[in-house]
Amino acid sequence: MVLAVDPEHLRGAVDEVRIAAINIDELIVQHGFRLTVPGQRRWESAGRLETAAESWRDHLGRLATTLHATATRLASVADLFVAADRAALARIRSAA
Amino acid sequence: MSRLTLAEVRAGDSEAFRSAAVAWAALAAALDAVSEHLVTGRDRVGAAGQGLALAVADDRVRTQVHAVAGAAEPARRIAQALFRHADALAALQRHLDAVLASARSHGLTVDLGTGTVTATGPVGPAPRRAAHAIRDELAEILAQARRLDAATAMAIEGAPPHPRTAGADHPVTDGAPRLDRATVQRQAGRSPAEVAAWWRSLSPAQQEWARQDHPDLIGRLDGIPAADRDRANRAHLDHLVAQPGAPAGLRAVRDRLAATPDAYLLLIDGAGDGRVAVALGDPDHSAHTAVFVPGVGSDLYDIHGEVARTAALRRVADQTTVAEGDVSVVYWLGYDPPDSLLDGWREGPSRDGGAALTRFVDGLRATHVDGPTGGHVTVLGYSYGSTVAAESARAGGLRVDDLVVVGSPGLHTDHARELNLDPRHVWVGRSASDEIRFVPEPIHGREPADPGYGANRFVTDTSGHSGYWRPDSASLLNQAYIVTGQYDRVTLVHGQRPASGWPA
Repeated sequence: MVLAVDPEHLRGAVDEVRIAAINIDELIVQHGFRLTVPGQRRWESAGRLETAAESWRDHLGRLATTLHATATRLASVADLFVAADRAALARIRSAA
Repeated sequence: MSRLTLAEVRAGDSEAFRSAAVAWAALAAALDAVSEHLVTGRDRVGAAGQGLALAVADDRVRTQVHAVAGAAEPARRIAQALFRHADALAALQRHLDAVLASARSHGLTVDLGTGTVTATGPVGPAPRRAAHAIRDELAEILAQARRLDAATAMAIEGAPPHPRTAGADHPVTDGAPRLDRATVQRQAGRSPAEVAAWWRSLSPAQQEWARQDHPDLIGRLDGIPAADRDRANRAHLDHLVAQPGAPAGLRAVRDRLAATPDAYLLLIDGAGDGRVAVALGDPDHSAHTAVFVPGVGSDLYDIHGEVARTAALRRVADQTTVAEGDVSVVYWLGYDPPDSLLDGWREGPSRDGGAALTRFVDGLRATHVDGPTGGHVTVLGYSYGSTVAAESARAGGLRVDDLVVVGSPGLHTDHARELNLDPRHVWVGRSASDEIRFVPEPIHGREPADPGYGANRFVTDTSGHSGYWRPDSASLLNQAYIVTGQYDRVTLVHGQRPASGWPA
């Protein structure tokens, strides 16, 4: 397999994934309490909406956590590639 | 099952449901925006180079794109269900108020907790009959409210954040086999009535599998109910938009849908100039359905203006009828129109489009809840779209109750009877200043607005080629009366209106 890596592109990906994660965090705050119909408890649909909103908040929370973790891992992968390249360079120089 | 009382129906807060619907629609749109960041992120990973770690990273981000994009679609479904709920609840409350007013005028008292109707004074035969009628109406309102509540609850329950992460990885199985792609593909060669029968023969789990596994095929099949096509097409649209280099027109369609309550996506195809059909209101449950066929140069980018035009017609038509929400208007771009008026002479697109339109209308007939003749169906051809409708009718297969053409360059015929419809049900709108009149007759046939053509020409009071849907115009109101079958209210320049209309 050919190994060719541009860490800057990878860092660009980190930024996008991180923005996505932060946006989802904000979504939970922004929409979390407007997804239901308070005061309509006699309506079965209102009760289901309450349950659904709760489940959606959990789901979005998990999604945001996963995205934050992915961004962190991608950032460390970029760092590792740079570090590996530097280590290889140092090895070559020391050999010479 | 819902245990609502009439008092609770009356106290129901339709605006609270509408506010929640707006919030869910906004959530869906926000998730779309988030997924675009992730798509860009995935593209950046792809551009970062090659290697095992990058391949895994690409796969990881791809999975997350699907997770986010997959959540937008059910959020949109919840929004749609809540918009429907709010509209229907408001209509039921107005109906209830009218019944209560009627009760009062008959000296009757209604207990909204129990639904009982009692007289405040001596009871003669007339008030007794009125009391029975009011009791029946109240029972019907309550039954409708309970059905509405149950349907909304079911729609919410059926829209978990992600179909594949909501408790089970698959729909609840009922032992019936999952459908392979070839089986679904074969249905395209069958008539819409046969497709409808096939769909009804499937178990709920098989239908769910089919929507999930083959949304691109299910969404375009005439003969599948509108709600099922809508779900499949929205999932397919999300998938198409998430592809690198997706046509911007597809995003325009998605944005329009996000901003349009009570919309059903009945067709989506990004190939070429694109094809799309959007119904405002459920055509399977509406008393009156109009199919609007646009003309030259229409493509996916036009969706905002075309849906606004469709909405204007629906709003006015609905206002002219007794019941609210009993009109559905479909914007149907199911053919490839010529790109400009200069290409408008080409008959190929109208013939091909005519065949597709015939099939689409047959599909509407096949899935209507009241059976193939249960709803009043009108095709409304605009400009070159009128030649598409004409080609469909000329071939003898257009199963409509009324055909309306506005701004038509000609209908490839010399007389309305050649359209295989009762000429009294062929209606022509033509403003005096419509530039289309300069198209020479040999190109598309005889001028349909001429008295000798044999169609009904209705009054238009708008100018130019594109003003027929101006608010508060006779041009628009006359179209509304025709699509709701209120023929006696249409103002005519010449012609003979049908003897009887449809219940408004």
